[in-house]
Amino acid sequence: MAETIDVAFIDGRRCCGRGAPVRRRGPLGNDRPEFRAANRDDVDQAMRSAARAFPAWSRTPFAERLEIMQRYADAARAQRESLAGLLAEEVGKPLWECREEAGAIAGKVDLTVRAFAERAVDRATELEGFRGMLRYRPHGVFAVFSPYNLPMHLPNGHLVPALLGGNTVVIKSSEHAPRSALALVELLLEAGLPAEAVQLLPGERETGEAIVAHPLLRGLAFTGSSTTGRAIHRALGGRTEVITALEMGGNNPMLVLDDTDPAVMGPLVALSSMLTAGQRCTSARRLIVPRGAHGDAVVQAVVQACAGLRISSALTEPEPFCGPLVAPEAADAVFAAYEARVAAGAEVLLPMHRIDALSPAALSPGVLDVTSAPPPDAEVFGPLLHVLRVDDFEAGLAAAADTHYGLSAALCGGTETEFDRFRDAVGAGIVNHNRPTNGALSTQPFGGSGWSGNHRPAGFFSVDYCVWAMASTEAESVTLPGRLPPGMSNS
Amino acid sequence: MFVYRPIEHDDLPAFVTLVGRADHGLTSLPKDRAILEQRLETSLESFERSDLPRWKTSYLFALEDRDRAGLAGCSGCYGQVGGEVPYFAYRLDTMRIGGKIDMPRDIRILEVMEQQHGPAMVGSLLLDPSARGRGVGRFLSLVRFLFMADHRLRFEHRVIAELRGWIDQDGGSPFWDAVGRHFFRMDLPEADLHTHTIRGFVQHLLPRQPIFVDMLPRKAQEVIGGVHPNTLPALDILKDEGFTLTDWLDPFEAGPVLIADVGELRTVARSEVVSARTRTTPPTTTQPIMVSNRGLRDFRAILLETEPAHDGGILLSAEAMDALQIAEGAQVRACALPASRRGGPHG
Repeated sequence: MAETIDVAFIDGRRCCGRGAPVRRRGPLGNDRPEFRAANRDDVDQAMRSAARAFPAWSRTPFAERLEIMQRYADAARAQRESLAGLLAEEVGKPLWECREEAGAIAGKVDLTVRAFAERAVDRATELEGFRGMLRYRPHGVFAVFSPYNLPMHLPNGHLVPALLGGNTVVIKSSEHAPRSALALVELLLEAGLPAEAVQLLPGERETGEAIVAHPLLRGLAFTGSSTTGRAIHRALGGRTEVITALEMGGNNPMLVLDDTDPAVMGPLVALSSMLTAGQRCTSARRLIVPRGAHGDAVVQAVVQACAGLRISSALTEPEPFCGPLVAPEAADAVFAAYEARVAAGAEVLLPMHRIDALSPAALSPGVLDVTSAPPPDAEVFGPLLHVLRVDDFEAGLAAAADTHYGLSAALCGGTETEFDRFRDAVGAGIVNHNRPTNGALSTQPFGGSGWSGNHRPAGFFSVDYCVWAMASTEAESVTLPGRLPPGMSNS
Repeated sequence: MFVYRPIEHDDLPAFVTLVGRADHGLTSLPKDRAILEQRLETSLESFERSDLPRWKTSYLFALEDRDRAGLAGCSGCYGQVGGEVPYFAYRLDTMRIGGKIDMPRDIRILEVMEQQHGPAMVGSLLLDPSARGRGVGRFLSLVRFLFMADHRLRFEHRVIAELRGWIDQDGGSPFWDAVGRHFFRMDLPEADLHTHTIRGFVQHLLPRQPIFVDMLPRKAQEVIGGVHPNTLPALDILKDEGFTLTDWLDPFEAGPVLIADVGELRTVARSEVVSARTRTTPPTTTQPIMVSNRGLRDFRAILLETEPAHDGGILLSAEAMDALQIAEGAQVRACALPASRRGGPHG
């Protein structure tokens, strides 16, 4: 008999959604515990509860809000091992990677304090007879939509600045990782956050749509696919009172020139494209390499490095590089994309296989040369790397820039001038030199252009969309100016 | 005075004696020293660590009578049932047959229910026969909720209690003889022991096919969901506290499983956090009140006759302050002990 778990937190209570049951399979192909989605009534109840809690929370002094968030960080640190275990179970990532993710939760609090101090601190200016004040205000009810690939670190990146800024938060958890979001909520409650200041709504598309449509929504931070992100953007068209920050996908290029060492490039590209089984928005998707012997050696080294990656389930020893994808349907979609490209004429450099012995969600890395069969400009969220051979550096720049996405890009080799030209050509948010496309710095903004974002980067700049600036001029009492303009008399 | 506190290493011999004196063992506390020692270690780990997943935690408490040696009782609570080893129960359900030919019948079945993310649980309650009366049994059952009230996030939001099913005079279980014995091929106490010593014992020996209740011997059918008369007071205590019956049954003796929302339990909802001061004059009117020091590893709770808390404070005797190991003005959690329905010896 399928078991049902309660993964909603509405109006201060852990509970069960009143919507349709959600039955999914996990990374090892087994049935995940069933849960019920939050329906429109649940969404309404949660949004109203968060709205009622907003005045008191926003008026709580920053220092007190910070104390709570610091206790949250302490609790996250203390429970790192069990949080990592939960991540491994829900997403299928290896334990070493889950420990990194769990370990990153606490650090966001101090980072956010710094970000507020640098980017959104109240300011006073003394003027002749009055004072100019700049104050940063929270928006109100702020929704955080979580993806499945880093279902603690990514929503944490929005909810910490949102709560610290004085907003109340409504989290829409991923249907693949509802318990990871619940774990964050429980850490917040343990830290003393007023129970109505955070709400948790599990569910699928309908739950998300109901949140977006709700009249009490004032802010939304979304991490996920470009398709969904742009649908949200359309749905909010005309609702100027809602601030949205959309962190979406990428079709990230790596241009590797001839002054690189193939023995280094092999593992570097494999890391950049296959980490987390290719389930990172910053994963390298397109490897662009000039034609010739050196280029051939680079491609060969990459194929070898990818072929040698150890793939197995989270709790096996010795530790694997990556595990299966989050669910069988994710693997189905990636494998179908691979087969379509092969059918369209792509040359197979490393065949992608299903690893049935491990799980219906497990795929081995695939590398395709698509030079003569350019694939559609789409993000394939899995361990698939496309190789493009080009004639020269100029053609490489054009190929790198040839995408509607703009999240990350990397140039390996080349001079300062060439990197300068690369930055001009590629309008991505994260552009690196001699480094992989992933592994962004937390002290920098994280976001993309085009189909990758809406100019509201997260990371260090996340405070920018969590608060807004209110300007005031303030005088002690009402007085007329010494000199009135012409046409006005004193009497 | 009775003091309720986490069970310690030094308690092991007295703990073994307490379990040994019980009429029937508990599934969770079998009469085996090595296993009891293991349970004690797990309990201490649960109190001391903050990174264990809920399903790995079990909190065992000792009831100490300050006026005597030995342990007067014990009880415990668990963060979550399930985890590495799923929680098993039978669910009493009905199956509709014959609808399509307009000859409908509802037949009763027992279906195996397996949970990996179950509720929290209270259990492992033993009271030494010499300590019965004056509300001690009720205290031993309900004081666990004082602990849970101050450590809500160590427990799932819902909690179950399994009650011992019907055992006849010879210590046998008609349900076990009709069902479990066929799969496990041993006596009930031995099966209880093996749940601790053989990993996946129930998981791999209990068939998942449903059991047709009507095909069981009459005596086995009669005891489904029933409790022994000695256990009836425990059932009343839990119902008054806010537990309701589920349709789940213990798979060995078909005893009932009760469930409640932790936040709605009487002790959790009605207890108050107040400051404690030493009383200098004797109380005028008294009631039995449970008081805890809200601690974790250093948790202490007592049952005493005193005036209820008022205006955010409670007055305790010097002996009580000492038993709770608190300083003047410390915060405590207090709750009146409800009166017994039956006024019987298990009070």
